[in-house]
Amino acid sequence: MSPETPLCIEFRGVTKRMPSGTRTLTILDAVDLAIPAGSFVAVLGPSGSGKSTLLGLMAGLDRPTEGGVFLDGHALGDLDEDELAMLRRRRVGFVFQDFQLLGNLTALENVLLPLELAGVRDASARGEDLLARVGLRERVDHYPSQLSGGEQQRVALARAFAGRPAVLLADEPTGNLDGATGRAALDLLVELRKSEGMTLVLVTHDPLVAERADRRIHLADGRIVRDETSA
Amino acid sequence: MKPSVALKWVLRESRGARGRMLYFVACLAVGVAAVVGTAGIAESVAQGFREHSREILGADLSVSAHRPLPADLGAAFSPWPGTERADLTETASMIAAPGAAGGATRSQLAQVHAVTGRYPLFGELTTDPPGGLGVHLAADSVVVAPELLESLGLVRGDDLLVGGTRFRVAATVVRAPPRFGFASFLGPPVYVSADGLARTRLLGFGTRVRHRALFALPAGSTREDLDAAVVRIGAVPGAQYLDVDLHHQVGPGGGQTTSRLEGFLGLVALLSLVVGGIGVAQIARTWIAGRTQAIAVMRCLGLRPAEILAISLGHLGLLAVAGSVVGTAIGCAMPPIAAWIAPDLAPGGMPAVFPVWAAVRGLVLGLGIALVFSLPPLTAVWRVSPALVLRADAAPLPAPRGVLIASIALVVATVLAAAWLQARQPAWALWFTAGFAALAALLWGASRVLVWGAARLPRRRLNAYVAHGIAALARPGAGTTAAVVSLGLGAMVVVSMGLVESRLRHGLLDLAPPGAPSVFLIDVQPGQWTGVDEALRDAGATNVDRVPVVTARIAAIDGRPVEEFAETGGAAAPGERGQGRSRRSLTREQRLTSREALTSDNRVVEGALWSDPARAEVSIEQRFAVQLGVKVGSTITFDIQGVPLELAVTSLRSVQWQSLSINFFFLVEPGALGDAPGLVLASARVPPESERALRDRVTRDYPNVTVLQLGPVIAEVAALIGRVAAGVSALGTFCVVAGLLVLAGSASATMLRRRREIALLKTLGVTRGGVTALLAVEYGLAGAVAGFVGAGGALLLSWGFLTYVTEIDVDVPLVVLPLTALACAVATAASGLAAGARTLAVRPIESLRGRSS
Repeated sequence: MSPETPLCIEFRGVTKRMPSGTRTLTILDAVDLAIPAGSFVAVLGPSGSGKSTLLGLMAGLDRPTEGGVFLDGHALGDLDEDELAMLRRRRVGFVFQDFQLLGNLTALENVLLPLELAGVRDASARGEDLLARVGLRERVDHYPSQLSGGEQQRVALARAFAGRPAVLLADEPTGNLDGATGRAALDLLVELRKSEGMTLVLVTHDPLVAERADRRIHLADGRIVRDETSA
Repeated sequence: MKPSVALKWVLRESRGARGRMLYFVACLAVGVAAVVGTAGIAESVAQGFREHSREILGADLSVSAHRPLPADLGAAFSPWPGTERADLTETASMIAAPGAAGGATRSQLAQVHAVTGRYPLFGELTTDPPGGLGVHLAADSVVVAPELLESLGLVRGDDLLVGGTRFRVAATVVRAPPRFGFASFLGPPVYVSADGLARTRLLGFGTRVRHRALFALPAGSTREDLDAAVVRIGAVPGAQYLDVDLHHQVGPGGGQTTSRLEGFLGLVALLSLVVGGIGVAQIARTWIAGRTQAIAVMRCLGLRPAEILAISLGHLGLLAVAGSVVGTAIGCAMPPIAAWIAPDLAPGGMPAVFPVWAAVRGLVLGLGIALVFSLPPLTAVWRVSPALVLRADAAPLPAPRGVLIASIALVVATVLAAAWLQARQPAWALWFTAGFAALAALLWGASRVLVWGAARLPRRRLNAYVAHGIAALARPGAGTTAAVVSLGLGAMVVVSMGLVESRLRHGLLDLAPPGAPSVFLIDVQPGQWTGVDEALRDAGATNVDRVPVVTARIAAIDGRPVEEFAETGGAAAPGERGQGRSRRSLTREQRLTSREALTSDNRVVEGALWSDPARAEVSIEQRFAVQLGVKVGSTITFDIQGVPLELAVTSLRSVQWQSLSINFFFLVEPGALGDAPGLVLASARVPPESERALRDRVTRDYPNVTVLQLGPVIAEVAALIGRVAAGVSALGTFCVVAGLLVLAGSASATMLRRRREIALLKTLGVTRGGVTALLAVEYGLAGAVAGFVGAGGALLLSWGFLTYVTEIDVDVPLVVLPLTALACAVATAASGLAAGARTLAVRPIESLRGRSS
């Protein structure tokens, strides 16, 4: 990645505190971070280190207590909830540990959600194509409850890529899958990212998963303790 | 978001909605059915009146007065040559069966109609034998209702006495124009010819007679012709004393009382719909609470809260359409059912027409109430943090105060608008909305106290099932508040109507004050009093009271001729006010009486009785004084048989009319009436077994005297009240059903979330019966509180209505409180358990699996 590559995500002195009973916990503590566009970054750390909070702040799902978060040059702190929603609609895709598919929609309809929001004309064709690419051509009309965990995660991957977002945020995407299924899902995620060319930030506590990334950021107690880049 | 995409999402949102659809549709359908049914029945009755309006009036137009009609009245119709006219003279009189010696034996009060010309001009009056009045009426013959013959023990062809004059019964009435108003309580009809009436002694001085002219305009005449005729009648000299009725103003719509009853019933029906709206809101709240995670995902994907709200509202809108259509269908079936149960609701029967406007009203109100009541709970979508997709403990976002306040304001405005639409009276709509809000707030407060108490009640010493049931009332999302509010409102309607009806009936039939008169003797001539008094004493009468009665008309108020106050518009409706005064009150024939001192049921509220030695004084009942537009210090000039008498108003009185004693609006200072010609009005309490003998004797000896027995009249009025109350109670039942559905819907929705809890209880060893018991305690307690508070509200409402509107002294039957609480507890426990029956069957293994196999 050249120094001229524009930044996709930037954290400037971001602190996040949350009340917990009578105490206040510091989840992230003065984090500075810059992620260039098109990179694949893994965020590692033990439970409670602030990985998911970091991811939520990147997408504007949450707001920092202090500091500023920038996504594609937009200061998220300056945007209201509706503007944040519009930014996510256009620029961000998600993959979650527990898939977060809508239970009342079929696999295809879940994939179509971002496309319909974007007003894409041939949404169905692209949705079916994506499901075919994740190996679910025959299961487009199945509801999430009729799919296995691995299949649900593949639907979630297809949905995440459907709108061709600039940034893909993945929270423990293999966390709820067994080893083989998890590896397959990860392969698919990496392959799709490569073909679509978007920025991928992946949160994991699994070093083997993180090995696939170009860059690994280690969090502990809300601070970045190590930031390493693959050769 | 494009509308087509939004529609697609709305339809998708409706998948798997069967559970909530059932209760959503049911809650709404019950309320809509009540609204459509009430409006539909009113519409059908109105249509029945419209279709038969000429037959009911017997004419296109009727002109009537308590004085002979102007001689040139017919000239008002000169622009419409071919106009047909019939004249009626109507009075109440005793009819008797002649005895062997020519005197009366058995007698009966009846309405005498003396007919000149073809009657009726529209519709028909059929007789047995056939032929009608034109064939059977002669100077010495009458046509009577068959029930009169039965009462007198006579048959067709026999003779009877009308006003002491003998007539032959030439025929009986098979079918006649319907009769309305108080006259219908005063006995069956007797038709005589004008010559026949002249033979009787009924038209003597002081007799209360109504003269009526019926007109039928030539075929092809329009409503505008009738209006033009009314204008011309208004120009006839003496028009201010005339009452004009048009055929299309007969019955509902034209009848103020009927319109008010329709408005009242409409509001009771609306209450069912509003209770259904509370159920809808509760279902929306539970649904949204269960969709929190999905909403977080949607927000993550970039949907704005307003878009999610629109999709959710669209989905509920589909359910609302379903509920409104089902309710409208049920409501449309109600008019035929009502016609079957009460065929005499409209004369000539209720026509089988589809109540279009009632259906439209039901659909609009159903859809509107459902959507508007759903809005406040749906504003919860703003509070769902998209961060929930990452962290289950993500804090809710701030509540959108502006949106929430606007949605609640919209609810209030919608209830107000719906109430106005139902009652068509702004004041009623305001009272309904304010009353509903106050009662809902009271019930809400009670439910909060229940939840608060349930959370804090020491439960250690209680039975485990009872303790668990009480604790469950306070768990988050229990829906206790909505259930208590809606069920309490339903209970309040039913109990208050039951109380008002029973107290009114009781008050009318049994609670007349001790010693209250049971018989009135009207139009006794002064020379007849000794004999009448003797007859009363022989009948064992007590509390005999008599007063002189002088008939008069108001000629002037404060020196200004009454004509200046009473507008000459002859078409003015009864009670219409001219310059703030009631035209009818100003122009009607007045009855003046005289007493030295007030009786115990009268009280001077302003001024002083007989306080000005220099002037002849009059005391006026305070409400009537308002209608006349007079006050203490005013002067009223009466016209007594052409002789003017000026009286000074020196006091206003309140009168306890329910004492049933002799009371008049005008009480004149003794001596002021001088030797003005008058009659005697007497009242007495007569043992029931002697009433008939007294009636027959007085009728035989004094045919001009009318004997009015209060018992049968009160029984008729009580029966009428009973019918109205039964209708309202039936509507109130809709309200209770809606309340129970709200509770069942709430129970059903929360049951889905309680599956694991119930499975866990079973895993821990609680039997199915035990689970049932603790749920019954939970629902029963909510029902008991709703019933108790609802009954409390009902006691307050009915007491207020009876005390201040009907002025009946009532006791407060506190026993209603525990009884209603018990009934509601049983009903809610049963409906709640029925709604959760499937969940009760959950197997313990689900506590481990989390999902049923």
